[in-house]
Amino acid sequence: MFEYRQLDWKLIGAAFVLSVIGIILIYSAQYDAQTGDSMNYYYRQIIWLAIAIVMLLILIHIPLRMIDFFSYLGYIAAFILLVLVLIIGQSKGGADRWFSLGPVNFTPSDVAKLALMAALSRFLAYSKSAPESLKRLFISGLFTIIPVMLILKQPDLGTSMVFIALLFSLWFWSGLSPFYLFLIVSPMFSLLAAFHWITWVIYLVILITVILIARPKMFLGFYTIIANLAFGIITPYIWNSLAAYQKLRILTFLDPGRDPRQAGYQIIQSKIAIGSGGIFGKGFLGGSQSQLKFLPERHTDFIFSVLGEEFGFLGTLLVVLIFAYIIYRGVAIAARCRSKFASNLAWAAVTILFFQFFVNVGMTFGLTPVTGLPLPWLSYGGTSMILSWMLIGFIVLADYNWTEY
Amino acid sequence: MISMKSRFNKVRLLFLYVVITAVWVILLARLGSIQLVHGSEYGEKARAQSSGKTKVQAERGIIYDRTGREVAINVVGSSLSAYPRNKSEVNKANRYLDRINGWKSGTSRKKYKLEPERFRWIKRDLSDKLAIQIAADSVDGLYLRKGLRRDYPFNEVGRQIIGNTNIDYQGLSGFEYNHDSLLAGLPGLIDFLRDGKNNTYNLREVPLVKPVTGKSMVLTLDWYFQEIVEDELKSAVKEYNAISGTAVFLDCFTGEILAAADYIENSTSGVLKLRAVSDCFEPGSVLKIATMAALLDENLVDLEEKIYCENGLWQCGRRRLRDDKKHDTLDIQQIMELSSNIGIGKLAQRLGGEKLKDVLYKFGFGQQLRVDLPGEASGAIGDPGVWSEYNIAALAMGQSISTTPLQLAAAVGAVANGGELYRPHVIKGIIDSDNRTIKYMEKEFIGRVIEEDNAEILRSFLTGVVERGTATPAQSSIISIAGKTGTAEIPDPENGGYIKNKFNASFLGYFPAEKPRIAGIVILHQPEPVHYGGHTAGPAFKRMAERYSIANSDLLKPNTHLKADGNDCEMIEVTDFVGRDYEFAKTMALRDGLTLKTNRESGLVVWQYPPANRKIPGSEKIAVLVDSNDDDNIVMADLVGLNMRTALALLNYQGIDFEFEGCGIVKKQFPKVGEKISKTTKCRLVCGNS
Repeated sequence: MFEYRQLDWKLIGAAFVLSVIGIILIYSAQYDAQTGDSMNYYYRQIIWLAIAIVMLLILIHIPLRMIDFFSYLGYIAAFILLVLVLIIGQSKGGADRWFSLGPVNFTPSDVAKLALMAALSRFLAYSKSAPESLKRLFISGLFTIIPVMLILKQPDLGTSMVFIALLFSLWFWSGLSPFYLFLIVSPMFSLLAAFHWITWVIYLVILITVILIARPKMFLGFYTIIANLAFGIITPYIWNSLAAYQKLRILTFLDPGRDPRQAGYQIIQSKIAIGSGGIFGKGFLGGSQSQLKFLPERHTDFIFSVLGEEFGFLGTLLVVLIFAYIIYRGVAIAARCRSKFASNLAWAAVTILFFQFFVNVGMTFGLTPVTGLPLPWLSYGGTSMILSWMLIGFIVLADYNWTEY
Repeated sequence: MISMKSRFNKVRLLFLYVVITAVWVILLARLGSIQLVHGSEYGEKARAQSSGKTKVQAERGIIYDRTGREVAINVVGSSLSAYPRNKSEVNKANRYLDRINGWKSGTSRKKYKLEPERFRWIKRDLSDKLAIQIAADSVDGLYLRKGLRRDYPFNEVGRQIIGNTNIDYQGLSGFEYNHDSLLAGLPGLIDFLRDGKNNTYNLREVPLVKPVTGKSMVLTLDWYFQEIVEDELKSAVKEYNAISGTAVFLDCFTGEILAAADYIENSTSGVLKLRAVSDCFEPGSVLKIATMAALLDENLVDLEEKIYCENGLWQCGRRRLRDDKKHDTLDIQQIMELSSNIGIGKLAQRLGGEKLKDVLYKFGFGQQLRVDLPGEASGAIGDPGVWSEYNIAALAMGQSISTTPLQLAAAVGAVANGGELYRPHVIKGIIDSDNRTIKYMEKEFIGRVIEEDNAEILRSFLTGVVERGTATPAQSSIISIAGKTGTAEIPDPENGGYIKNKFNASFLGYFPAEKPRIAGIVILHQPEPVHYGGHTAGPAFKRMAERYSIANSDLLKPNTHLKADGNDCEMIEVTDFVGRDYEFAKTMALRDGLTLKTNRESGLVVWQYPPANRKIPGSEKIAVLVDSNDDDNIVMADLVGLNMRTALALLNYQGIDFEFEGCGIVKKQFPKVGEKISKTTKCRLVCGNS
């Protein structure tokens, strides 16, 4: 017998409040002062919310074991979809690709997030090897790298970053020490340090010293040193052989602020929007930045800026605190689950929500790069809305079944 | 699983909470910094980029002529400017400009050198068609701006007076410049919103400060007459091989200037100065009108007396005075008609220098008339110190005095109206944008220059000048003209004295002679080889008067009937046929004993000659024109039997070119009655006395 009262209604309520705030903001963002009407985005978002809640209600009735059982199958299905979308999918100048199913656009990379979540959770829950064993790291890495490569091909950097973050986060959650995590990521630092040979040499010396003292597993030590050397030596050569415009393209890719007319313009306008909201904001439909179309992508990526402008610091504080509640509660749920799979799954959901929230909100005032990741529950978009509710559904499901082994 | 509860995992969880909390603290700190600490700065930035204030142009006042024609109006013009925000907009704009102009690609880039965030005008005053096209295409980086611009429906006609405006709609010359503060109005202020795509929206319907439309001016000029005067002056300058010409006409009874024109042959810069007002010259014989007025008023001449004119050469003190033609004795009227220098010189001695000078001042010479036109010259009356016989004679015949053409026209206007000098002016009134009169210029009486009965005598002299005297070439068959010719020597500013064989030819007069209405002067500078005023300026004056009178048929002279058998005919008053149906008009004519000649037999009568209420002999036929509603299909009217003058008035009204032989009554006409003709057809009339 399903006990509805046992569900974490507070968590569901928090997600619902965020969804409603999102709909209000979408209405304002697409409001046309001249016709006195909002384009029908908000209306569609309401329908998406309804669909998402229905899907949540279905999800919580599915036994965790069934999800566990079907996770690899789901992963394979997602893989097929990702390949298909590269062949027959549609794209509109932007970075992501989708299938056009009548009025609905279906983005397979969002399905891949759920599939990878479940697959990694299962693999890391049942693998008998030690957290830092080569086999375990390699297989879980392979699980992740396949969809990442496919998504990069679209090319969608933002979503790829979510996958990488998910992998590292789950490695940490399932026992890998932060030090090992650092060693794995260290070639990236080498990449950055290699722009001047002195910084790179200093970095390398420190790295080797640390390895000699801490004595990690042999293969990891070798990996770290070889990878760092390779990245450091090859990078300058490749870099110098690039044409000026190619360099600029890469730099802009890494740091959109370099191009003040395109991505930089968005950040400047977004900052002005948030800043000019002050403490109390300019009121619903009262934001000049969004109403006068200075804000780009204001109903999707920059919905938080609309919030900041029209509802001020009080508005942003409320939303940030609701997110904080969801994240802390999610961590607590993940931590107390007795089943390792359930725990991993809840933690993975928390990771995705947290990562997307941080990258999106940080982007609106220039803290993180502009990557096109939507803000869960608030940004306009059906798949984003359903994904966000699925994620909270996994957390609620894990909580409902926390005593299960 | 137990491992989750282990101490190791508790540390791990704690670490996690610390990291997450740190992220939250960073986010909130940044938000607080932007929204709370720097909130007002960002608010200012948002306001600055989204709102602004801008001036709105006030509409300039309209300039009307005396009949209500609009001679300076405002039209909305579109201008194209570029303000690309980035490189891609620059490229788009360049491509678009190449396309609409039909240039090969790259032309626009070289021509305009557009750069991101740099404002540049592309084209001002676009054609309407192009403006609509560009507005429809709405290319990023290119902006259409609508603005008012000045338009002059009569193009160059009268522009010496009204002047022009610059590209920014401000008065630059003429009236547009001199009355700029009146015409310009006051600009308003609007506050607007600008959006992220650089579109602007007015914040409210009503501007913050409403622009005040400029005042409109009604001028005394008649643009129809102005056009005639300009046209005839130009052809006279060409015909008589003069270097330039000036003409000005005014209403005798009010001083209202009706037309004023200047033409300079081979002028490099278009004339924008009105020399009829701003330039002085020695008038010559035309001034004898004033001298004679003085003589008459002072009762110093007897109309019957004869003056010995020395056979053309008068030893006058130590100098000699010559006449063009040798005369023995002349009476007073003949002295005027034949323009004898010796005759007027001798008569002037009776006045004396000081008296003559006083009268000339009274006529308005040697001083500004305070005309409402810019740059008025005053002219000067020479003061020789000692009034020798020669000095008095020279002044009496219009040398050693400089006047403006306008002063002369005003003076003869005073003689024509019976002796009252009125201040010449061009502004009739000022009205506001709601057509309320703000100021109405009453005619301004300056003073009496001649007694009424003496003015009548003087006028009969001036009529004689045209009928018998020096100005017979100015005689017209359709209007009566009176006036005085002038052939003035031109002072040599470098060597003193006068330039040899260079003359200013002039005709100063008024029309109609029997009932004066319009006075004016035509001056041709240095015509060659014929330099007599009567043979150059006179005919030009005549043509201007004729063409104007044809449109105002009440100015045409009554047909003098031929008294072939010596008996007076019975005089009949002409009925007003205009506006009647032709059938009805015919019945009325039958009743009154008149005969009608027409172009077609049915329709409304739109024109007639002679005009209504004029008395004509019963044998004379009336010409009427019936409206055809069809300008391309003019039908030749029945002219046979008409008085020649009536026939010419009709053809002139229809705008048909013609030539004629003989005079009197029309005997034959080509083309025949009822034939279809066009404006280019040339008619030939054979006339003769019955």
